[in-house]
Amino acid sequence: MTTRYIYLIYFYSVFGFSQNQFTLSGSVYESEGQETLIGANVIFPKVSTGATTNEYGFYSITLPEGTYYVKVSYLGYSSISKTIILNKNLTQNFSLEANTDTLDEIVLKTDDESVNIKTAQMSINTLNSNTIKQIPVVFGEADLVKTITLLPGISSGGEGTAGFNVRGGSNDQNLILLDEATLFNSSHLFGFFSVFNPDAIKNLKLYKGGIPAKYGGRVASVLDIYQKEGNKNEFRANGGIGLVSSRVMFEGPLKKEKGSFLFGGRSTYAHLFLPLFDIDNIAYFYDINTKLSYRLDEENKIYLSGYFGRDVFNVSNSFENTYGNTVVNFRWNHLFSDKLFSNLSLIYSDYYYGLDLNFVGFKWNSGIQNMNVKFDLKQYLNDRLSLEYGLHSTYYGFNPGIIQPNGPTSGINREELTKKNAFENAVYLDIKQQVSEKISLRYGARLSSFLRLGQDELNRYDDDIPLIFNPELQIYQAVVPTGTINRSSGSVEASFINIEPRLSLSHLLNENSSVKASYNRMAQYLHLLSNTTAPTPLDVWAPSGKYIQPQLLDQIALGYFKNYNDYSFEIEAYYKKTKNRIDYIDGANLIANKAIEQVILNGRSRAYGLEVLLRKNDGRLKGWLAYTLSKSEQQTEGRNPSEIGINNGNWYNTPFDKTHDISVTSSYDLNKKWTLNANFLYQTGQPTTYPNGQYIYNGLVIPTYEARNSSRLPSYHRFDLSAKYIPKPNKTKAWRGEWVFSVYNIYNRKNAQSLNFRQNTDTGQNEALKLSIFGAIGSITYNFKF
Amino acid sequence: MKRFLILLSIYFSGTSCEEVIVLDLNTAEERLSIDARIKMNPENTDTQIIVLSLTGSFYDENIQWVTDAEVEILEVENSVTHTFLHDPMNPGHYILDFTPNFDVNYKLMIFYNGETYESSVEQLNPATPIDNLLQGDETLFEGDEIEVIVTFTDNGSRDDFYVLDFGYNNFLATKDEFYQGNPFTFSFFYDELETGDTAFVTLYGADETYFNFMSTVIEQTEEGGDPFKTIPTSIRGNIYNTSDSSHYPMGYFSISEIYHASLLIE
Repeated sequence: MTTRYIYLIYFYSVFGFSQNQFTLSGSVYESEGQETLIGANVIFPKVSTGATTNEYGFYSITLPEGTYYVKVSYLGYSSISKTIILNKNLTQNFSLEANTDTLDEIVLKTDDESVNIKTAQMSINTLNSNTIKQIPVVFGEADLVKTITLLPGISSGGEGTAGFNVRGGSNDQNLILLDEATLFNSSHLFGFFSVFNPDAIKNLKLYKGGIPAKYGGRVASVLDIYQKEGNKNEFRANGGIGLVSSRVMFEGPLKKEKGSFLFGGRSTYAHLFLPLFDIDNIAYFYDINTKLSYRLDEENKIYLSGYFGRDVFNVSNSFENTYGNTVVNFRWNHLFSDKLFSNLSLIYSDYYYGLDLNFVGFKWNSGIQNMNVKFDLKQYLNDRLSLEYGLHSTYYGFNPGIIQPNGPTSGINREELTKKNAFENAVYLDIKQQVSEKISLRYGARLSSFLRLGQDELNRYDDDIPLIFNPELQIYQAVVPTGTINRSSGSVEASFINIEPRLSLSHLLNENSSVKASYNRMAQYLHLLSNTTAPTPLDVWAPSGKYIQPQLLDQIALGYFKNYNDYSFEIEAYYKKTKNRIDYIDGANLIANKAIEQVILNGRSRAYGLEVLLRKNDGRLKGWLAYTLSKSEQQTEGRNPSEIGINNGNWYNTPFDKTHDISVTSSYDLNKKWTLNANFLYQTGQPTTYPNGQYIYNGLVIPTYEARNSSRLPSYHRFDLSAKYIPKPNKTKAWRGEWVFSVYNIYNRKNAQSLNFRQNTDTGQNEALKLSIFGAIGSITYNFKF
Repeated sequence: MKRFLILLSIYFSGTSCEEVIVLDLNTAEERLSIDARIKMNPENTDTQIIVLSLTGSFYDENIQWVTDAEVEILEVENSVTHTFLHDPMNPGHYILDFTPNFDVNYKLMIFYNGETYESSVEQLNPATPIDNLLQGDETLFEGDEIEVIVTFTDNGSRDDFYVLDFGYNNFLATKDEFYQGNPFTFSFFYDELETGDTAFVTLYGADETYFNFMSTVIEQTEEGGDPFKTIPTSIRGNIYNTSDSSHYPMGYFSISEIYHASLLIE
């Protein structure tokens, strides 16, 4: 009897057949400019449930009929609450007012921690634009990429190195999305600046693990960035003038409350002062961000975004190098119903690289173009179950380069390295389910495929082996192809298909703490060919094909999360292993290499670590402390037991293995006018290879070396300080300005960027030369808003 | 080409600096080091010199010369050997008047300390004359470099590899991939020259293996900081130890046709 009763209750609570269910949906906006808010919380505290807005500010929740008290909140904004009578499907938008001292807040998304504790998503950090602007960095300019390296599990290759490394992964393993479009390069001028204008950015999420099925194509992380739409009510401008670079952004309505535009630009100009020093060299970059948004009606919104960035180097007219991204994308949000949201994106992107070497008469243009279609649907079934599914398709054109003479007197022959084409597709399904009061799950899979299309001049080798091992000399040597064949670009040269399961779960221990676990498998079909110790603009992206396999990664992670008053604490452990990590034979030359398969070997990598993050989210003192203990290594064995592989087939540290990585960042609101910020970083020195001897050849003294990456550079540490001064803190209209004074590396430590071993030209003795890039650098920036 | 891209990277690091630091380094087992560059100069005959030494620890100030080895070049097809003799005035230097011929297979054979070292089979690699050297006006980073413009004409009927020696331990390795059959003009910027000095340039013919070897040697011995550098490893040449394969020697055995050119700097 009791058993039957229990089944009845179970049946009742699952299906709720005696109650009607209705949907409450809508968008959450910022009241001032009608900017949609990403990840705003719409909570029903009395029934312990809620929803968060998606990337387009839309939320939807289906509940049993009734009267509900709902609270809407978002960090940096005043919460609002309302009582809602849900007796039919209802559209309810919410408009939040910014807190008056918005400019002073360090924001690491913490609002309504109870929601974050509960969700199955782990290994994620979310930042708002204000946080990024607070962190003092070199040259005083806010830098998104430098800010994320202060988080646990994320490091950079050092000063003067582009990109960033997530959980021991390489720079090319990060998927960087700007308004749904993929960017191939996240840095300007060798990593001194990022490509992102902090004023144009609304929200960013960085996934280090537990990556949802809607993301794919890179194995280590996803940096998902959304730009602002622009103020729909009034014309505004925002900008900053600094010693080395400046930026400005304009936003305003196209049609009041319906449409808006955003237009921003930034550039450096330090090079303009160089002629004063009699230096005939130029190095600068510029970026332009544009966006148009228009709300056609309650169910349809369209967006057109563009990004254009370029880096230019010119050395005495002998050498000119230009490169950068161009992205144009069109998106259409369409609500099929109040439970089914969709977004269609049509994206075109072009990564261009040009090199003009006047002193050799040589000009090289190369790039990657891609056209991308994404159709993503989000279905909010009820307050416990929602689905995300969709289809992504990308067509790539790789242009490894056109080499041509740069003038009539040049001896260079025009040559076009063969274009490569590929087609990458994926379908995915992701399910978010609140299984019980304490357990929530996110699970799904992505089915991805990659077709490498035919091209001209495909090399063919005996037995398909492009490089051989010479056992006498113990080196690998390229094999001369037996011939080349041409295949039409409509044919398929190689195809790959992978199923990528994704799973995360969260178990609530109590209201303030939870444990989470996740597993993900990721596939990556494009590879950045780089055999240098740090990424350079000369690195080339290559698609998988007959001789290059896709990288496949498996990651598991486990974490514990706790909130206590103003503090939150996270500790996560992860283990990753990757198959098909390419490694290069000794002495491989990658520049303008037409046959990469002759210099690469297939290997594997693995990384594991422990990350700790302690944050203080409120009060006059805010900030966080991040500590990561980790290891990242790779191995390339010979293809059979008689070959030595790379480094004799032993595991060796990847160039970005850093045992300890500590970052502390804090901000203190001294009073209404002054805010102080400080950072401290400590990292174990990067791996490097020391010499263990020397010999002479051809009059040169040449070092012999130890095993790859078996030694380390000296430790890296520095302390940065900055102060922000707002002369008129109470002004809320018209021209508002603030001054930011910052000192980077205040105790002037000459951190080693690299060590070079060479013979001193004067004494003839060998020495180790430490190169460091930045000593203490002071800077002043004036930021304005009107 | 790559050399200049490498130098570029240091350029705009505004407050960057270089500092000599002393490291506690290990020393690997001692190996034989062989510098066997056989030259064939069509304009006159050179005495060939092969230099033998031993590897030392990184901070060693003196070179350990090998004075008691047996050095010979073997013509593979007819087993004729050309034996080099140690020059007592010049420790480590083994000399012989010997002119290599085209299309003959040669091997270098060395007997030292109870071990036999043998090179792979090499042939005389052809080169091409330097058409001219001209002085230019351009400079590079410092603003005081001397620009020397070099022109030579590539032979379009074969794949050529060249190594250029500019003196003062400056080298450049290049291949005709992009300028096949054309006159190729490029500039080299000297730090070391001033008005009144003479620039002396030698062009060596090479094959692909020697080109790869010299490219890596040049990269590893280049001056200046270099974030572009590949992860360094000990460079293997084309000579191996037949008595103990793990005790391999450093260095290379090459046979090159060479051409010289010189220019008085104004």
